[in-house]
Amino acid sequence: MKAMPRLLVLYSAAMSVFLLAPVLVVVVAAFTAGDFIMFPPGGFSLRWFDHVLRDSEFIRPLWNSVRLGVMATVASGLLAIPAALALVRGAIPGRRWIETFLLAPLSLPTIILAVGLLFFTARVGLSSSFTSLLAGHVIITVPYMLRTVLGVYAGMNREIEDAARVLGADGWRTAWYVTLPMIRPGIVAGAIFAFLMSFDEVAVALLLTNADTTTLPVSILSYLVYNYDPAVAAISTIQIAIVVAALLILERFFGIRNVMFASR
Amino acid sequence: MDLMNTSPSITSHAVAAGALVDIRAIRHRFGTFEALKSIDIAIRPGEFVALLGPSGCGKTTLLRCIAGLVTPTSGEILIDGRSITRVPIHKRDLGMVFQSYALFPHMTVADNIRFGLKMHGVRGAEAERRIAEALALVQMVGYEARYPAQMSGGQQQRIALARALVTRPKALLLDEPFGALDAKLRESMQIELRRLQKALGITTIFVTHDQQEALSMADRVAVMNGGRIEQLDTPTQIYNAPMTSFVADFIGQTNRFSGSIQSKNEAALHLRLDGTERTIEIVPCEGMKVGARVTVMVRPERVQIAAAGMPSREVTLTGKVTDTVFVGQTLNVYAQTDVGPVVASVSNAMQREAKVAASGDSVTVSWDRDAQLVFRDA
Repeated sequence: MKAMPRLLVLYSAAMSVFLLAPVLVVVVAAFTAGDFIMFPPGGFSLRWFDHVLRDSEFIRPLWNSVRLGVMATVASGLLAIPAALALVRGAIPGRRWIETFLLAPLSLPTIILAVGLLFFTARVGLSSSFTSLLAGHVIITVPYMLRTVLGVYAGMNREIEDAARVLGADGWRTAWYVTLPMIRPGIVAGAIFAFLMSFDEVAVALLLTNADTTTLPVSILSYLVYNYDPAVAAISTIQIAIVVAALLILERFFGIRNVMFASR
Repeated sequence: MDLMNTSPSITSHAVAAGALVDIRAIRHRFGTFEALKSIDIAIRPGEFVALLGPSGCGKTTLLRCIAGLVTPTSGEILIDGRSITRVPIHKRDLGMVFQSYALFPHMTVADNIRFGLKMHGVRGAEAERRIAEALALVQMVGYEARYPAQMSGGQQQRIALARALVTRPKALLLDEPFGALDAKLRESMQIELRRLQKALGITTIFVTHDQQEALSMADRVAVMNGGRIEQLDTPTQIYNAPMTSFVADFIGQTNRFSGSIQSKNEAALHLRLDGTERTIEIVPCEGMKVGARVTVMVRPERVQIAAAGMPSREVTLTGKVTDTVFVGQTLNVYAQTDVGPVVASVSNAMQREAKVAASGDSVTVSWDRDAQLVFRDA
């Protein structure tokens, strides 16, 4: 590998510090022994982790967020993957319109979407239920799933599906044995985006949750209003750890195998 | 343009009775574009037919119609006497090889070949035996565990062939299978495919835009142009007795002259070449009236070049050599004659005997009347 130009090295280092410093401060501050968030921390202790892990005020929302994130990801996958396949195959009238419609939530401020959802769900008698929260998150996550799957599927050699059909596979078996495995990198990337978008979404959750369904970002936000102790840093560190662990696992299982998808 | 050569040619209907693949009046339209304009071909069991033509002539569309990947606007396709026009792709029992190989990139070689067997319900020891057999057939034993990305183009195409053959399809369809290979590999794959095809006796339809490939491999060649079949014939007939000027032009190199019939008698027609005072004699044929517009084509290898004043053939022009191009087995000699440029292809051996080929030499350019392919203009 050729050495990077010195200026680029400097630039990359500066950007890394800029991006990582705030995260690092939070993580380091979580290990403090003191009663206030300080940097550098006053002494080393795990007491704040112990505190938040015993506190149902954090643990319930954490569980809610994980559950919501996973369900929103699965639901948006079930909607976006068939949509992407149908849109690329292109025999549908008005496919440009449909695609734009499905991607539209990307350009809509989530707080506006949240207000709209609040009124709508109240009208149909679903307000503040887990279902309406999930619906809101699916709307937000579908475009991410759709974009990545569309990208991968559009770049796929269509003759490979033709080959499967001629070899005796009907439409379903072609999708199961050939299309889905081949677009897996797109699905995995879309799922990561979708989960992350849902996992730290605040606006919709703020308006559509109640005491039972509150999510982690919402509970952190409301805790911050009245408290300034390192519990927030500790729960944030746990949240970061979950995301990083999820990314590492996915990279381990899917990232390496992607190499094999570079056919020809 | 009409055919004026008297050579007989096999028409598709004559053999329709024993056909394995029988294509009847197939038309296909993409929007307002007519990709196929009523195609009829009857292909005998075990026959190797090449669909040859320039890009956009409809050859690939026709192949995809047979496979079921394209549904023709009208017409019928029969395999083994049974209409498959409404049979879905996966129930047609055909094998297909694509230009892009289209191997499943996420499966090993063995799994690629196993796929068709699995779809046909062949499993276990029988499947393993047939996979081994298919790999042996294409001389790729030992590659079972490789992924497509770990093989060269030629190797991938062999696997694609094995995958298509392992289900013992009724017919094998190939869509420009060697188009992405380099010249040398291409030739060895052509020879191998032909060997395999003969050994298995499998009916084969091969799409190509490469005339050399079509002529050297096929039992019969269908030359296609603008959604129609111009001629369906043996390679020799296609080359020596083209039925239309398109076929004559498309296959091989030709010298082309246009003119109109000036006079006729029992022995010959006299063709006045456009833009000159010059007339040449052509073999008389039926229905040719004085004044008719005619195109004459002569293959370069039938043109003789000799030093000025040397004995010559029946139709003789005089001119000067402008260029010589050495192309290996032959030397192409370009001469400017009194009726325009003419190219003659002289074999190496002949060239050594008669030292005629140098730029600026005065030469006689000549050929026999029967070397002329004559077409009446539409």
